[in-house]
Amino acid sequence: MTYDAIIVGAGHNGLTAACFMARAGLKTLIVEKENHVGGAAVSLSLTPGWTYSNCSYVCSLLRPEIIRALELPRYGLQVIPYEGGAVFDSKGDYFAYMSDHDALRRELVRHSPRDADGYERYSRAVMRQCKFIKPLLLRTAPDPASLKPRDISELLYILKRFHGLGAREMAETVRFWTMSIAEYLDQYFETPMIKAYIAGSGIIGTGLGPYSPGTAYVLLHHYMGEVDGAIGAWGFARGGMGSITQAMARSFEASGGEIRMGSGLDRFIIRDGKVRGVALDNGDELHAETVVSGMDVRRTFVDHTDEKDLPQDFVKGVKRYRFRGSSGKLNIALDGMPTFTGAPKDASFLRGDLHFLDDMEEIERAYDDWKDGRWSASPYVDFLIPTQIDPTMAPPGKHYATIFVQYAPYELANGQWDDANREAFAETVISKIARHSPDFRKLIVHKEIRTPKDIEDQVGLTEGNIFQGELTFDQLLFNRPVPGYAQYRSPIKGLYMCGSSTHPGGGVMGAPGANAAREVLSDLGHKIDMGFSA
Amino acid sequence: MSPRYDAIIIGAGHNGLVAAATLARKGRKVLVLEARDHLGGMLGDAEFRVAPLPYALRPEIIKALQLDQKLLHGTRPLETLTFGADGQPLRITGGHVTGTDAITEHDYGALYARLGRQAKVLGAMILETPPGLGKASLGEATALARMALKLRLLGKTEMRDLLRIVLSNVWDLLNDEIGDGPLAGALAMDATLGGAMGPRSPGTVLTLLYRMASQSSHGHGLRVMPEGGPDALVKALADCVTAAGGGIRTGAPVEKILVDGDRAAGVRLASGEEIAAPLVLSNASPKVTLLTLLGVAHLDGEFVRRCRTSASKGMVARLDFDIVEPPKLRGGGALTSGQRLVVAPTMQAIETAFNAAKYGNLPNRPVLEATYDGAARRLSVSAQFAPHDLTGGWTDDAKARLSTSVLTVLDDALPGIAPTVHGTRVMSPVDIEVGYGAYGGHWHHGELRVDQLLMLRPFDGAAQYRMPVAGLYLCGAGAHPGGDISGAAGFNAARAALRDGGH
Repeated sequence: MTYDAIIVGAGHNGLTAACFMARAGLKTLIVEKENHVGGAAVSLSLTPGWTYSNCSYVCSLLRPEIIRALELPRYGLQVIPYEGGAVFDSKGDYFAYMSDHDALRRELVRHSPRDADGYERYSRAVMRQCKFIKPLLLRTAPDPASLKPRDISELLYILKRFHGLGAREMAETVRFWTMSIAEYLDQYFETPMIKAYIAGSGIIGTGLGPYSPGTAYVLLHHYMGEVDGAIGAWGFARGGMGSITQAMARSFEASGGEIRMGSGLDRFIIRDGKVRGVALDNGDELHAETVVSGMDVRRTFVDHTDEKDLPQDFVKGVKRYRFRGSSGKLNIALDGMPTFTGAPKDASFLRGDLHFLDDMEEIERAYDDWKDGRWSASPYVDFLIPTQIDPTMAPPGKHYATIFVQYAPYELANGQWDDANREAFAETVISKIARHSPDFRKLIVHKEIRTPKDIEDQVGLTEGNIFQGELTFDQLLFNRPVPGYAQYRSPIKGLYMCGSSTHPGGGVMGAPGANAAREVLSDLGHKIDMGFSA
Repeated sequence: MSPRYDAIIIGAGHNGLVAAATLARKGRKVLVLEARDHLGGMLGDAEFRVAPLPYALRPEIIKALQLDQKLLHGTRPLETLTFGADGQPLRITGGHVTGTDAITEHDYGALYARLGRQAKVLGAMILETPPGLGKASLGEATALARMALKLRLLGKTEMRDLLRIVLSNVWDLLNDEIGDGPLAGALAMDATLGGAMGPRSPGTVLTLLYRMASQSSHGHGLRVMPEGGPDALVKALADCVTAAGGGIRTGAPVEKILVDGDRAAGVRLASGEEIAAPLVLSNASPKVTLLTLLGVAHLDGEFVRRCRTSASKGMVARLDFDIVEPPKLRGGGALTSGQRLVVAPTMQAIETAFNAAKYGNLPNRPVLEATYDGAARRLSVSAQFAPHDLTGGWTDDAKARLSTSVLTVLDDALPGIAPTVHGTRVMSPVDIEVGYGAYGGHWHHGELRVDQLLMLRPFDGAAQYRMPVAGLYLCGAGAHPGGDISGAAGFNAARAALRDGGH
């Protein structure tokens, strides 16, 4: 069979790229190894009656431009914002985050009037930085070493925007892109619990601790999304994260696209430095002059490409590219709604992200465990019960809990990720939660444990890194994934990358997919109408 | 009071002396006021030195002040010795290493040469006033353009490489290029010594490049010992001040910077004596200068907040051991005066030591840099990481514990060292803070990090040497380009003051 374009992997970025290409009139095929679409944005039923968002679990970063252009609401996507969140400390107190401004202020003042003022300054600073970054997400990063007019003008665009921030904001930008989240928050807050609540966003998914420079950017990465225009807000996709990718798949098929599931890629077919198609692991060969890989950069070029077809410096860059999975996940079916010590029953903030922490040091110590190849003795957890808002994911009266856990190493220093260790890991997490929620343990009906190794094996994310590679500066913008190859093109003509390994990186954002599609269409000489202006 | 001086320089550290000499040689009547009884600040005296070792005054400054060229050329680079888990020492001089296998030798040489070329790009700004954020003058913009040009001249490959690694950590870089071991440990010591970062902290490649750049215009980062030791350097600088008509007073601690209207007007000493001058250059750290000597009443709230929150947590303790004989090296021979010993067998060892200090504790096994002064029969050790805010405080007991663990670690390189010690002096970051006006006891008066470099050094709004009170300048390591013994901060500050009106 011959197609205009083949996309490898039906994750959200592969689907996004495919949608735009099909809409531009290309005969487009997606090949997917699983029997369902979604990659790491899926809704799966592992125990009767319950649906798990068993990888990614909350939604904010998905670009509104993409939601609109692909008409995702029309194909079934509904994102419901959750309002709140809390951190519980070991002394029985909590700090509750509320999206209602006045309620939040009262809660901040309860802990520290100074922090209430600090929060105003802090959120203004974050908002300004988000506004600075947002337009860069749906643009291709310039190559600073190139003298092509396009790269120079793009570089000037960024410098001009940067300069336009004014002296004070420029300094703030440098701080945000380079500082540790701990020191950044020390500038604004004094209450350890409040800092710990916010600092979590600075480390989720990354192999750094809150004291490591560079983590303030990771926080920004988690804040630059929006739900229904509310910047920084997070929400649940109704029916689980799979409803995002299912809507994308419907949108794609409505544009004439075709999806083949159940067999994965064996290798790219490459002749004379050009890609000619793909060979699947069931022996089928499919032909296209354009192939776009949604897999991460190591899977694409180390596992599925012959090294001799690639320049040496590129291979070196790909091998050096860092994944370092640092997080695990528990998905738990609950027999009822757990209670939390100190929190009023039915408190609105319980519908958001819950954490169990005293201070940032606790997260840093959790990071030290990971550095030494152990899962954290006292892990950072991002605990949500989406069924309070979206009852479709569990039987009536029952609940589903998604528990993101950090840190968990990809390889254990002592031993393997066997069943005993996986259970021990889960027990560490459950007992930590049980200290704050006495009835939690006995409500557990079913649990799924996912270590970084499981995430690699089951989802195909190398080393279980949820972002398809670390979000450190050496792997951002024009450095992502490899300097000189940050514009979605690979050294092989016709072979492109569209996964989270490319700019602007991970999270269920869709931006890498959209950007890659734009580059593909531009190379094919198509008049580009993405449905939004970049 | 009528001014008898054109400028007062607070502190006779090497930067203060360089600033004073630069002004005096332009005909300004200067007075240097030093709280202690001796000159040289952290370079110290025969009794004790915080910075006993690396001296690399910028050649441009030596030339401008017409100092004895021998200070620069009459000396050989120090050889660095470093030990792995077992066996003979590795001997490192710049990019040359012996004692390891041929492949590592080659990889290390290539890496060092590459870093040297990249450091030179950063070095383009060392002797410049950093450009103002958003409002660079023509001269400043030119400096920036020159740096951009140098970046381009590296060629595509190395330019891309520099832009990739510049904000990352030495841990990844060195694991990629030479693997972890004593060689990586020695380089990672250069990247972390004096700061509050471990090898895994992003930003440590920058501190390594920065150190290589600031010590030499060639970016080779070699450490040299001047003939006559640090005293010769201090004396040469002091002579330069007095020869140009400048005055130096020791034992004269400044208590307050005087302000008249919105201008600096002079200083008041602890003795109560007031000395008037329209220009005041402070070699004390930014926090001491602004919060203590000047006082927050003269500053706006936002400026004070930034000053307070700028990072300057000292992490190095200094120990002097009096010993009866030259310390014997493992594998034979003795440590001599022309050598620098690094005891950091791996980057992991440095990171582990840093782990403890993050939480305010002393590491069980600190990592060390040591030199031996044959004339004084003294082994001087810089031990990290020793946190300024040590849990329980820097009691005599804490110092004794540190001293014991340092000797235990030293024993790996210098077997049998402990019994030969007959005198020990420990200087904690708190002692350094009290003794040298360095807030937090930080060697560089402020962490060398991207958010505190160039136009952000020491903090946003206080860069370019000029403080909000007209006539007041920072001339110490807290100002651009930062620490180590390069003299650039003092030199640049004096030139900025001269440009501003030439009082």
